[in-house]
Amino acid sequence: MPGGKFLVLTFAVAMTIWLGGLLLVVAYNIVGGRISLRGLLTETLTGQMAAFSRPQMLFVSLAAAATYVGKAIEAIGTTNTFPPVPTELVAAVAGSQAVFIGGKWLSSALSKLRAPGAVK
Amino acid sequence: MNPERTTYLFGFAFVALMLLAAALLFVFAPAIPAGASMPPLGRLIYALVGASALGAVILLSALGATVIIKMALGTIDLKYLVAEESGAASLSRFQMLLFTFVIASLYFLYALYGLMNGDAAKLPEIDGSVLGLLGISGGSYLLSKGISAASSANASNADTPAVRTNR
Repeated sequence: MPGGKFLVLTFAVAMTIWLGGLLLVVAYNIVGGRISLRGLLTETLTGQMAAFSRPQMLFVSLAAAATYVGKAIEAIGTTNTFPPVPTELVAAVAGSQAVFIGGKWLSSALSKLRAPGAVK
Repeated sequence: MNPERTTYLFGFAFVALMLLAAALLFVFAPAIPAGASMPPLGRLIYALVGASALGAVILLSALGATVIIKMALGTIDLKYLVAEESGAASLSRFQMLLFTFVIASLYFLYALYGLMNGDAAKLPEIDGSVLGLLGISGGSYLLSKGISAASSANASNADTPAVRTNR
Protein backbone atom coordinates (compact mmCIF):
# COMPACT_ATOMS: atom_id res chain seq x y z
CA MET A 1 0.00 0.00 0.00
CA PRO A 2 1.29 3.52 -0.76
CA GLY A 3 3.03 4.94 2.30
CA GLY A 4 1.85 1.90 4.25
CA LYS A 5 4.63 1.89 6.82
CA PHE A 6 4.27 5.62 7.47
CA LEU A 7 0.50 5.30 7.89
CA VAL A 8 0.79 2.32 10.24
CA LEU A 9 3.37 4.13 12.35
CA THR A 10 1.28 7.34 12.44
CA PHE A 11 -1.81 5.40 13.44
CA ALA A 12 0.03 3.39 16.11
CA VAL A 13 1.49 6.58 17.61
CA ALA A 14 -1.93 8.30 17.47
CA MET A 15 -3.60 5.34 19.18
CA THR A 16 -0.90 5.17 21.85
CA ILE A 17 -1.36 8.87 22.58
CA TRP A 18 -5.12 8.28 22.64
CA LEU A 19 -4.82 5.39 25.11
CA GLY A 20 -2.42 7.41 27.26
CA GLY A 21 -4.87 10.33 27.17
CA LEU A 22 -7.74 8.04 28.12
CA LEU A 23 -5.74 6.67 31.07
CA LEU A 24 -4.85 10.19 32.18
CA VAL A 25 -8.42 11.46 31.91
CA VAL A 26 -9.79 8.47 33.86
CA ALA A 27 -7.05 8.74 36.53
CA TYR A 28 -7.57 12.51 36.82
CA ASN A 29 -11.33 12.05 37.22
CA ILE A 30 -10.86 9.32 39.84
CA VAL A 31 -8.44 11.49 41.85
CA GLY A 32 -10.70 14.54 41.46
CA GLY A 33 -13.69 12.53 42.66
CA ARG A 34 -15.70 12.97 39.46
CA ILE A 35 -15.63 9.20 38.88
CA SER A 36 -17.37 7.98 41.97
CA LEU A 37 -15.65 5.20 43.90
CA ARG A 38 -18.12 5.61 46.77
CA GLY A 39 -19.15 2.23 48.08
CA LEU A 40 -16.36 0.29 46.38
CA LEU A 41 -15.73 -1.66 49.57
CA THR A 42 -19.31 -1.62 50.82
CA GLU A 43 -21.69 -4.51 50.35
CA THR A 44 -24.48 -3.03 48.22
CA LEU A 45 -27.16 -5.43 49.41
CA THR A 46 -26.70 -4.81 53.13
CA GLY A 47 -25.14 -1.34 52.99
CA GLN A 48 -22.47 -2.47 55.46
CA MET A 49 -18.71 -2.40 55.07
CA ALA A 50 -17.62 -5.74 53.63
CA ALA A 51 -15.19 -7.29 56.07
CA PHE A 52 -13.18 -9.47 53.78
CA SER A 53 -14.60 -10.33 50.36
CA ARG A 54 -14.29 -6.91 48.72
CA PRO A 55 -10.93 -5.71 50.12
CA GLN A 56 -9.29 -9.04 49.23
CA MET A 57 -10.61 -8.87 45.65
CA LEU A 58 -9.37 -5.31 45.24
CA PHE A 59 -5.96 -6.28 46.59
CA VAL A 60 -5.68 -9.45 44.46
CA SER A 61 -6.79 -7.59 41.30
CA LEU A 62 -4.24 -4.80 41.78
CA ALA A 63 -1.49 -7.29 42.67
CA ALA A 64 -2.30 -9.53 39.69
CA ALA A 65 -2.32 -6.57 37.29
CA ALA A 66 0.99 -5.24 38.64
CA THR A 67 2.64 -8.68 38.53
CA TYR A 68 1.54 -9.31 34.95
CA VAL A 69 2.59 -5.85 33.74
CA GLY A 70 6.08 -6.48 35.20
CA LYS A 71 6.27 -9.88 33.53
CA ALA A 72 5.05 -8.57 30.16
CA ILE A 73 7.45 -5.61 30.17
CA GLU A 74 10.33 -7.98 30.92
CA ALA A 75 9.36 -10.10 27.91
CA ILE A 76 9.19 -7.21 25.39
CA GLY A 77 11.76 -7.68 22.68
CA THR A 78 12.14 -11.40 23.24
CA THR A 79 8.76 -12.32 21.74
CA ASN A 80 5.81 -10.88 19.84
CA THR A 81 3.35 -12.91 21.93
CA PHE A 82 2.04 -11.86 25.34
CA PRO A 83 3.68 -14.00 28.04
CA PRO A 84 1.30 -16.56 29.59
CA VAL A 85 -0.27 -15.63 32.91
CA PRO A 86 1.28 -17.86 35.61
CA THR A 87 -1.10 -20.60 36.75
CA GLU A 88 -0.73 -19.44 40.36
CA LEU A 89 -1.90 -15.97 39.38
CA VAL A 90 -4.94 -17.32 37.50
CA ALA A 91 -5.76 -19.51 40.50
CA ALA A 92 -5.40 -16.54 42.88
CA VAL A 93 -7.71 -14.35 40.76
CA ALA A 94 -10.25 -17.16 40.31
CA GLY A 95 -10.18 -17.94 44.05
CA SER A 96 -10.58 -14.28 44.92
CA GLN A 97 -13.56 -13.98 42.55
CA ALA A 98 -15.10 -17.09 44.10
CA VAL A 99 -14.76 -15.57 47.59
CA PHE A 100 -16.30 -12.30 46.32
CA ILE A 101 -19.23 -14.05 44.65
CA GLY A 102 -19.67 -16.30 47.70
CA GLY A 103 -19.73 -13.25 49.99
CA LYS A 104 -22.27 -11.53 47.77
CA TRP A 105 -24.48 -14.62 47.67
CA LEU A 106 -24.25 -14.97 51.46
CA SER A 107 -25.18 -11.35 52.07
CA SER A 108 -28.06 -11.73 49.60
CA ALA A 109 -29.30 -14.79 51.50
CA LEU A 110 -28.93 -13.00 54.84
CA SER A 111 -30.80 -9.93 53.61
CA LYS A 112 -33.63 -12.22 52.45
CA LEU A 113 -33.81 -13.79 55.91
CA ARG A 114 -33.79 -10.39 57.60
CA ALA A 115 -36.46 -8.96 55.30
CA PRO A 116 -39.82 -8.17 56.94
CA GLY A 117 -42.21 -11.04 56.38
CA ALA A 118 -39.46 -13.63 56.08
CA VAL A 119 -40.29 -16.98 57.65
CA LYS A 120 -38.56 -17.27 61.00
CA MET B 1 -20.59 29.25 15.03
CA ASN B 2 -23.56 27.24 13.78
CA PRO B 3 -22.78 23.55 14.53
CA GLU B 4 -24.36 22.41 11.25
CA ARG B 5 -22.18 24.82 9.30
CA THR B 6 -19.07 23.69 11.21
CA THR B 7 -19.87 20.04 10.39
CA TYR B 8 -20.23 20.87 6.67
CA LEU B 9 -17.02 22.90 6.77
CA PHE B 10 -15.07 20.01 8.34
CA GLY B 11 -16.66 17.58 5.87
CA PHE B 12 -15.64 19.64 2.85
CA ALA B 13 -12.13 20.21 4.26
CA PHE B 14 -11.77 16.45 4.80
CA VAL B 15 -12.94 15.56 1.27
CA ALA B 16 -10.64 18.25 -0.19
CA LEU B 17 -7.70 16.84 1.77
CA MET B 18 -8.44 13.33 0.50
CA LEU B 19 -8.71 14.53 -3.11
CA LEU B 20 -5.42 16.39 -2.73
CA ALA B 21 -3.76 13.27 -1.26
CA ALA B 22 -5.13 11.15 -4.13
CA ALA B 23 -3.90 13.68 -6.72
CA LEU B 24 -0.43 13.82 -5.16
CA LEU B 25 -0.22 10.04 -5.02
CA PHE B 26 -1.41 9.80 -8.64
CA VAL B 27 1.32 12.19 -9.81
CA PHE B 28 4.15 10.90 -7.65
CA ALA B 29 3.19 7.22 -7.38
CA PRO B 30 6.35 5.13 -7.51
CA ALA B 31 6.26 2.30 -10.01
CA ILE B 32 6.28 -1.26 -8.71
CA PRO B 33 8.78 -2.78 -9.46
CA ALA B 34 11.00 0.28 -9.40
CA GLY B 35 11.91 1.61 -12.86
CA ALA B 36 8.92 -0.01 -14.62
CA SER B 37 6.11 2.12 -16.00
CA MET B 38 2.71 1.89 -14.31
CA PRO B 39 -0.49 2.00 -16.43
CA PRO B 40 -2.85 4.94 -15.68
CA LEU B 41 -5.53 2.66 -14.19
CA GLY B 42 -3.01 1.07 -11.82
CA ARG B 43 -1.76 4.53 -10.88
CA LEU B 44 -5.35 5.65 -10.15
CA ILE B 45 -6.11 2.60 -7.97
CA TYR B 46 -2.83 3.11 -6.13
CA ALA B 47 -3.71 6.77 -5.47
CA LEU B 48 -7.27 5.99 -4.30
CA VAL B 49 -6.14 3.21 -1.94
CA GLY B 50 -3.47 5.47 -0.45
CA ALA B 51 -5.88 8.38 0.02
CA SER B 52 -8.51 6.09 1.60
CA ALA B 53 -5.97 4.70 4.07
CA LEU B 54 -4.87 8.21 5.00
CA GLY B 55 -8.53 9.21 5.38
CA ALA B 56 -9.19 6.24 7.69
CA VAL B 57 -6.19 7.17 9.88
CA ILE B 58 -7.31 10.82 10.07
CA LEU B 59 -10.95 9.92 10.78
CA LEU B 60 -10.13 7.40 13.52
CA SER B 61 -7.59 9.75 15.13
CA ALA B 62 -10.11 12.62 15.04
CA LEU B 63 -12.79 10.38 16.54
CA GLY B 64 -10.44 9.33 19.35
CA ALA B 65 -9.36 12.92 19.99
CA THR B 66 -13.01 14.07 20.13
CA VAL B 67 -13.87 11.42 22.71
CA ILE B 68 -10.86 12.30 24.89
CA ILE B 69 -11.51 16.05 24.67
CA LYS B 70 -15.19 15.59 25.53
CA MET B 71 -14.25 13.36 28.48
CA ALA B 72 -11.70 15.91 29.73
CA LEU B 73 -14.21 18.77 29.40
CA GLY B 74 -16.92 16.77 31.16
CA THR B 75 -19.30 16.69 28.16
CA ILE B 76 -19.05 12.88 28.35
CA ASP B 77 -19.96 12.16 31.95
CA LEU B 78 -17.69 9.54 33.53
CA LYS B 79 -19.38 9.62 36.92
CA TYR B 80 -20.88 6.16 36.50
CA LEU B 81 -17.89 4.57 34.76
CA VAL B 82 -17.41 2.07 37.58
CA ALA B 83 -20.75 2.59 39.32
CA GLU B 84 -24.07 0.79 39.15
CA GLU B 85 -27.42 2.51 38.52
CA SER B 86 -27.74 3.04 42.29
CA GLY B 87 -24.58 5.18 42.24
CA ALA B 88 -22.52 2.77 44.35
CA ALA B 89 -19.16 1.81 42.82
CA SER B 90 -18.93 -1.76 41.54
CA LEU B 91 -15.79 -3.71 42.32
CA SER B 92 -16.36 -6.02 39.33
CA ARG B 93 -16.58 -3.05 36.95
CA PHE B 94 -13.47 -1.56 38.49
CA GLN B 95 -11.61 -4.83 37.98
CA MET B 96 -12.72 -5.11 34.35
CA LEU B 97 -11.60 -1.53 33.73
CA LEU B 98 -8.21 -2.26 35.32
CA PHE B 99 -7.63 -5.48 33.34
CA THR B 100 -8.81 -3.88 30.08
CA PHE B 101 -6.45 -0.95 30.51
CA VAL B 102 -3.54 -3.23 31.39
CA ILE B 103 -4.05 -5.51 28.38
CA ALA B 104 -4.77 -2.67 25.93
CA SER B 105 -1.70 -0.72 27.07
CA LEU B 106 0.54 -3.77 26.78
CA TYR B 107 -0.89 -4.53 23.34
CA PHE B 108 0.02 -1.06 22.08
CA LEU B 109 3.42 -1.33 23.71
CA TYR B 110 4.11 -4.65 21.96
CA ALA B 111 2.75 -3.33 18.63
CA LEU B 112 4.91 -0.18 18.84
CA TYR B 113 7.98 -2.21 19.73
CA GLY B 114 7.31 -4.45 16.71
CA LEU B 115 6.96 -1.40 14.46
CA MET B 116 10.19 0.16 15.69
CA ASN B 117 12.00 -3.09 14.96
CA GLY B 118 10.65 -3.36 11.42
CA ASP B 119 8.10 -6.05 12.24
CA ALA B 120 5.09 -3.94 11.19
CA ALA B 121 3.26 -6.73 9.37
CA LYS B 122 2.86 -8.89 12.49
CA LEU B 123 0.38 -7.89 15.16
CA PRO B 124 1.16 -9.04 18.72
CA GLU B 125 -0.49 -12.30 19.74
CA ILE B 126 -2.43 -12.52 22.99
CA ASP B 127 -1.87 -15.71 24.97
CA GLY B 128 -4.95 -17.77 25.82
CA SER B 129 -4.35 -17.45 29.56
CA VAL B 130 -4.67 -13.64 29.31
CA LEU B 131 -8.04 -14.02 27.61
CA GLY B 132 -8.93 -16.58 30.28
CA LEU B 133 -8.20 -14.03 32.98
CA LEU B 134 -10.47 -11.50 31.26
CA GLY B 135 -13.11 -14.22 30.94
CA ILE B 136 -12.95 -14.99 34.68
CA SER B 137 -13.36 -11.29 35.41
CA GLY B 138 -16.31 -10.93 33.01
CA GLY B 139 -17.93 -14.12 34.27
CA SER B 140 -17.78 -13.02 37.88
CA TYR B 141 -19.27 -9.64 36.88
CA LEU B 142 -22.22 -11.42 35.27
CA LEU B 143 -22.70 -13.68 38.31
CA SER B 144 -22.53 -10.70 40.64
CA LYS B 145 -25.12 -8.84 38.53
CA GLY B 146 -27.32 -11.95 38.57
CA ILE B 147 -27.20 -12.18 42.37
CA SER B 148 -27.95 -8.45 42.72
CA ALA B 149 -30.85 -8.66 40.26
CA ALA B 150 -32.34 -11.71 41.98
CA SER B 151 -32.03 -10.01 45.35
CA SER B 152 -33.69 -6.81 44.09
CA ALA B 153 -36.50 -8.84 42.50
CA ASN B 154 -37.11 -10.65 45.80
CA ALA B 155 -37.12 -7.35 47.71
CA SER B 156 -39.68 -5.80 45.33
CA ASN B 157 -41.85 -8.95 45.50
CA ALA B 158 -41.78 -8.74 49.29
CA ASP B 159 -42.91 -5.10 49.12
CA THR B 160 -45.80 -5.80 46.73
CA PRO B 161 -48.83 -7.52 48.32
CA ALA B 162 -49.91 -10.64 46.45
CA VAL B 163 -53.06 -10.28 44.31
CA ARG B 164 -55.71 -12.86 45.19
CA THR B 165 -58.30 -14.01 42.68
CA ASN B 166 -61.44 -16.02 43.32
CA ARG B 167 -61.70 -19.04 41.12
